[in-house]
Amino acid sequence: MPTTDGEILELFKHPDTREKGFRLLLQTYQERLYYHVRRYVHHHEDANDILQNTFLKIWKSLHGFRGDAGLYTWLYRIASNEALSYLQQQKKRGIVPIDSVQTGSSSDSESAEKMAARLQYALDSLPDKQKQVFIMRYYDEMPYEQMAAITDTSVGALKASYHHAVKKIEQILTA
Amino acid sequence: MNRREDIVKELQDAAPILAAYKATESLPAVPENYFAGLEDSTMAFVVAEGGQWTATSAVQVPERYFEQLEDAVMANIKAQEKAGTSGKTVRLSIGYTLFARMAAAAVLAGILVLTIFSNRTALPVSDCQDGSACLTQEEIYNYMQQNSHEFGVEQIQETVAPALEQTTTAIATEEIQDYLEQEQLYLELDDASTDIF
Repeated sequence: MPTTDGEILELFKHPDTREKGFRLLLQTYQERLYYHVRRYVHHHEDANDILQNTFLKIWKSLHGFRGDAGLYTWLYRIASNEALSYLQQQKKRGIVPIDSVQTGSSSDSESAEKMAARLQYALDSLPDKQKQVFIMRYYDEMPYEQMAAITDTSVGALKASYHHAVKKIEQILTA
Repeated sequence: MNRREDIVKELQDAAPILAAYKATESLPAVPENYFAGLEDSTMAFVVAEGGQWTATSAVQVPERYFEQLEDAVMANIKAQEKAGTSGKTVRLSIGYTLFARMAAAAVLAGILVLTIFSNRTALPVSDCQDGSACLTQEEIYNYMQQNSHEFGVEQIQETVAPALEQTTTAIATEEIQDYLEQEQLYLELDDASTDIF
């Protein structure tokens, strides 16, 4: 039987069932959140680090969740911010991905895996916030209204930001 | 038309290559059985790093506090309103008013002294033309600082105005940016991520 957010929150409220509630939350959302944060980084290990930190924050703050937005929207926001924070830390330490695929025209025979790697490389060229907007729209196929709720940005600004990101990536892919 | 089709259509106009990429999109590779073990590894990590959550971890309030809060607040407001409409005005005691004036004067005098010594601004010298006394501004400031309770707020404001006008406290834009960059991680993500909703 599918778990509802209400059940998770109810279980989490009580000390005796807190862990059970959190495990249900993990079972329900871990994959979706993993694939979201995975888009920000090249390596699984990095995504795993981000995800663990995300869940640690959720564990510490879920009792304060007020329910003004849906639970997944709230979780997604934490994961997204955690991923951005991780990228900023990496930049400060001067760490850059070493397996970046060089640009060049794609051929028909190019594998999906290679195309994904090229796209990931192009994504690295975007400023962090633009990258976030692109991931939300292109990969997570999120409506602009939901993106606006998560990023505290107007729909118009998000559309403009996404448009710039798309143009820039297209330019890199065609170079 | 579903959302995916919308997104592809949106791309076809602006970025046809990216639209083609979208058609071949696949999920990133994940180590075998990663998700099967994720729940346990996460629980272990969370408990090790975050500690076992107990009732004392959260701010505690008396039992049924919030259920009764609304009535208690409304009763308090009504009582205040009733007291307010009875026509009796309670004035702050003279001692409190005097204390507030002294505190304000002391704060202003403190700001003045800090401004003077941190910026090492040359103080204007009195020209003695008003005939009252031939004191330097510095002597006046020192006296006022030591005897701030004797002066009103307006008097102090008038006295410090010349020094404040000469103060140069410009901060370079680069310094501001450096500071914000250094503090950025502490300023934005941690709390913003959890406090909005």
